[in-house]
Amino acid sequence: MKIAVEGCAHGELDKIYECVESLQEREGIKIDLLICCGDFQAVRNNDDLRAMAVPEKYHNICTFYKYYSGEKIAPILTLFIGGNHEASNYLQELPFGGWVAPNIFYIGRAGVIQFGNLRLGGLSGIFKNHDYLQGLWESPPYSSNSLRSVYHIRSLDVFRLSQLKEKIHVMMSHDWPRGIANYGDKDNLLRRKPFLREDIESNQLGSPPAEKLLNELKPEYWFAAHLHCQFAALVKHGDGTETKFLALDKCLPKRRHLQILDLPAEYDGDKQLKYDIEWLAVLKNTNHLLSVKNVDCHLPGPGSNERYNFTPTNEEKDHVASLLQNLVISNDSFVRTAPIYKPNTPKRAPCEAIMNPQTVVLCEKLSIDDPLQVALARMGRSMKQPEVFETMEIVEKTPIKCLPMTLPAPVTPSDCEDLSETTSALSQSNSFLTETENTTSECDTPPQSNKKVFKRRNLAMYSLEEAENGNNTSDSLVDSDSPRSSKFACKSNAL
Amino acid sequence: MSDKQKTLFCGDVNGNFNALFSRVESIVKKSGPFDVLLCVGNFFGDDNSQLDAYKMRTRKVPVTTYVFGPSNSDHVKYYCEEGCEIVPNVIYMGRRGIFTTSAEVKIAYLTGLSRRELGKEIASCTFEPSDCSAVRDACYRGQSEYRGVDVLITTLWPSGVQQDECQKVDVKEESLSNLIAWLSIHVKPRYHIVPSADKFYERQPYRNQGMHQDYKECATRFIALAPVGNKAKEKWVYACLLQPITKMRMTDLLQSTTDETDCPYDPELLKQHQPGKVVKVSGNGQFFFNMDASEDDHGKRKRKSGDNPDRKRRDIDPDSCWFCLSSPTVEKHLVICVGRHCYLALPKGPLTPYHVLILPIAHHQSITKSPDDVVKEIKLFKDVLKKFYSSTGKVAVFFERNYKTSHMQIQCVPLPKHVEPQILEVFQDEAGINRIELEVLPQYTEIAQVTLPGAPYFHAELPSGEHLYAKTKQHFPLQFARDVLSSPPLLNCEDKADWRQCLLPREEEDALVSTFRDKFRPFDFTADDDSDSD
Repeated sequence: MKIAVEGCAHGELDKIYECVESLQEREGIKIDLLICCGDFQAVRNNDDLRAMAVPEKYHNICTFYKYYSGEKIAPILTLFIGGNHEASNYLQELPFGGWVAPNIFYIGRAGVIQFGNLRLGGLSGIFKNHDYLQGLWESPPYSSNSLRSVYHIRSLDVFRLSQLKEKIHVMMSHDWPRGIANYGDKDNLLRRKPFLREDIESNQLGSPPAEKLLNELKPEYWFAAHLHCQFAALVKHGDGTETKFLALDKCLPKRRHLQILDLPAEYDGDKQLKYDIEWLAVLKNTNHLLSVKNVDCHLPGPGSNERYNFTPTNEEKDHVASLLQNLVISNDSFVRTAPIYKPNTPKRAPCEAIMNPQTVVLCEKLSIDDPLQVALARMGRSMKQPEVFETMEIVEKTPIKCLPMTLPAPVTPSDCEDLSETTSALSQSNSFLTETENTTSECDTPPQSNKKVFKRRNLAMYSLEEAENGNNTSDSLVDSDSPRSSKFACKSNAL
Repeated sequence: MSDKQKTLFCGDVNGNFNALFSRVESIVKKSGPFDVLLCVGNFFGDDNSQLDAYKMRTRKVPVTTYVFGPSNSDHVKYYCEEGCEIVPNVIYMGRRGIFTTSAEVKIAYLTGLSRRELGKEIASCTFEPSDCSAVRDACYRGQSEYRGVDVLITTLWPSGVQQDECQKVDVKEESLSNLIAWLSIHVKPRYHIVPSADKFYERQPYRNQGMHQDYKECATRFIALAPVGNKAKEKWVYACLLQPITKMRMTDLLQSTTDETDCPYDPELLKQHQPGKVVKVSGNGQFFFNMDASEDDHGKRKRKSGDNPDRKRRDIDPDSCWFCLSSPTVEKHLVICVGRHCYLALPKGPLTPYHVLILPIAHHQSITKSPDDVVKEIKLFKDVLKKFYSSTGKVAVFFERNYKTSHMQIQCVPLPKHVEPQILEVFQDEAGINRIELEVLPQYTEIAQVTLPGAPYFHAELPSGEHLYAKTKQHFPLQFARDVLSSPPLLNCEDKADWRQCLLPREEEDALVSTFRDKFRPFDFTADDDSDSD
């Protein structure tokens, strides 16, 4: 099984998929899963931009909306966690995870999911001391305060993850676990990011709960992003196990933002996305601990007269399994709960919380609470039933190529040297990479495909043909129809 | 997997045991076995002869039955010890408390009449305001996120409940209690069940309110059951299927019904930390914003103004810290013994002769910001002090205030063993008066687990092992713990509440230090260290 790991996505899905596809072609491999460590920016429309904690000049729709509207289909199953730049209103609809677009799955505030026999865990958001112990009180409309605190990690989510006892293979967090810098080439990191020195030396860099989880869960791999720089580390645990840590950069040219992980075939299984029984049983066991007050709250621990160990028993796991019946998470459950993107519509801050059917179904099955629904009900408000937004005909007819996108600087041949250099540098310096015999790429540009490429001015002409093909080829054709495509030839040759 | 409990309630039994149990038997026959039967009113009557058959086991009690305390002094003699069986399968639960059934249903109860509202005490049949807060505290204890209890059983009706606009009911004035209204608004039962003298009454459900405005809580169904076997055929038995509140979805608990009403009780009751106590309103708020590490205004006026510059500098400069062992300002003659990371010293103006301080040698602001070694040694000091105090027949209260202090001080105050049961209550009373939200945390809690490093707090450790924790806000009284410990029920030395009012002359301090050293020697682990190194 091959997994591609991406650092911060920052809405640049087109580029990331281009990268992955070109890599597949170049290396002659098939990538089964793409995981992304936050700042995904699942922005569906102009309103969602207002639920993202960024200055207005960055209110850029980027490319996710195409995958949401159905204009494009993600060519690779994509799994992501939330970071600190997210359409928080959308992610709040899916506290326990769900499809944000066909083939793109959000893991939830915290969560564990299975892909084949691989167990992947994730913790969304970033750590901020002052909000850590608070309840889950935020709801749209956001104030300038709650717009930020909504993505701050809460102790309840960490508490839930720390109940897990079965082996987690891959763990993701957006910010780095605290102290991780000490397990890698710290000097090199400081040379590249000198401003981190003070934080590293005072052990302030990174997230203490992530550090705690790294030490408790001892996953085989831990991926993170956030600091926009690549950094590898190896943590040896007391019991002889190891966690290979890798932080990745954001998706920009010449940046190390993508990593391919080659895993043994024993993890392959059915290569389907499935719910994790142990995790769901923890969710069910800890449902009563949910607080939606914006005050600090504590969780039960040793010495209290209520239960404090929520690691599920076999009986509890069996019960959850019987409630769920089918563990496979099928793409069919995706529902559009907000209108698709229309350029030039006003950006109105989302003021209503929408009930996402995916969350409703899971909550009903497990008989657990949707934190947002409780937060609203506590205030006497209720969630809005979703209207069903299907892909609109008009959109299909719109020529896709005229996208006022901010594209990275055109790729010049000099990049090739840079690329090969860094690749070798990586594989030498990094036991992480050599051990797993991975192919590394910071592929920021897709090489020209060998297939025939022709310029298309009107997609509608081909829509019928595409519908029949219904596969990724059509996407890549559309993708390569960009102004830069002619410059790729030499690059792909060089590789 | 059914996690619901089939529950039966009945009103005053008044000795009509046959009527009760034969009815229950026929219900069981019709709708299957029930888990519990709760008798919310008087179990005994003037004639209790019917009970003999159950005692002799010639008749059987069909469902495990729980009986609560008396409200009639003539009946007191019939009750057995709390938690024991009156007859097989009928258990007496006492007058106040909370119990959790095997299905995890929580039942809180406070039976009998209100001594304060009745104006007289009837032995074993009346309750005190402190009983109300005890029941409330028992409900809240150990609950990270309090939702409410499943059932509240009281003899008296809460005042206000009968003023429902749609369903007025005649209830005698003496059956109403403000204290029960206070209890009900605080514990938020899903079912509040009381006995009624004649008529059955079911109020429309009302929605509980949280402490914060507009914070909704679960709804309460208030039901009054008529006496067992009454002639008017008023309903006297009530059956329901209870899912424990902790296993329910909050979403369902907050789901409103069309007939629900607002909470009928005065929301001001929620703000009363202790029932019926008048809450002090602080007068001049401006004063408390003074950044100077000062005391309440009482103390401030008495202090020499010349102290101020010194005090301000103390916060900034550890060299002039009163408590850093290396600082020149430390009063060395007060030091009792020195460990690796901490030392023991006599405080200025001790509450009792063996009142001491545990202080870190280096400058650490609070236990939550101290390194592990320091925390470990503090624990060691606490343990030996506990042993030392208990050898003199005393129990120890430790407290720390990380608020307007720059160097951590853990105060250790020995109290006579016989006052131990009152300590918690006095702390809570004083907290109520000062509007401090004092939380009771279970044994073994680490303060660092409930608060963030650097956040201000007050923390006390009681002889029971329980911890008291409060987030200190602007108006936190600096002498809070001294106020509590010096109060009449505990040390009874109110004149010593302010340490500046009871400063000792140097000779007395020297004498106290040397006696403490002598007596403490067998327990002093720092002395062992010294002899090892010799």
